[in-house]
Amino acid sequence: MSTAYNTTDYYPPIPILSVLFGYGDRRPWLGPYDAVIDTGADATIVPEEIPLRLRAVPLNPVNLVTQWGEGHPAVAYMMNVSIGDIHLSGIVVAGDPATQEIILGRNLLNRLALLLDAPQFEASVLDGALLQRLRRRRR
Amino acid sequence: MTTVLLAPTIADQVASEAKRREQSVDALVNDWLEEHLWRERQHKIHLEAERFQAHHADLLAQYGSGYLAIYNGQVVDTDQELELLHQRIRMTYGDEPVLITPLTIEPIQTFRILGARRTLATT
Repeated sequence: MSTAYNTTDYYPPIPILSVLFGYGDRRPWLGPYDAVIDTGADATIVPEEIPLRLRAVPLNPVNLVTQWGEGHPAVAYMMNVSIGDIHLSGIVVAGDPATQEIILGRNLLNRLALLLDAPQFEASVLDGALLQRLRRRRR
Repeated sequence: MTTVLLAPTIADQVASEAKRREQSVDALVNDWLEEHLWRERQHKIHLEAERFQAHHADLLAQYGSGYLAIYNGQVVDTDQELELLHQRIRMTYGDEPVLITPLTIEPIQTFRILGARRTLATT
């Protein structure tokens, strides 16, 4: 599953993935949304509207802090995230009332094998067969 | 199904708003109430978190690490695995707001965001 980089809202272009969000097993999924791949973020962050529309039950208040020390409060939820054929459950997502961006942080990215083909402006989640071949070649 | 009688002035305004949104009155009122209840759960979680923070040092000494589930000021469950704890709490409490928080040396969990473009509103 591949998604073209966002070349219009960011300079230099930034890798994104197309994602869906769900909560529990009884509510509809929301999306697809373009979500920024950000290995510098501890956690996945979404606009508050997503947990609100999913009527997700909060886990705990959290603090979001930038590298310059700025911070503000948000609320964490446990959600399901779908990226192409991959369904991830138990993802902690911070609902941020002050953003419209979706950030995929390391708590989610560390569960994926990604190829960032920057010269082609394309981000891909590697499937099982290709990933196995690449791992064998490395050994 | 529960029938709720609205005051005539409220009913008129709701009907007008539903027409503007091209929704039924029932759908609009249910949507508003769901959102209100969702925000009420947020409020309760913040109150629960304040109680947790006030007793953080004692809880840290007692439990050491892992995740705590706190309801009405009482620790109702613990686990080293967040997802397992979350599943048990939702099975037992449904959508009731139960604080589920990691127990670390800091009383509030912090997520660092090193992305350069993102700016956070200060509150």
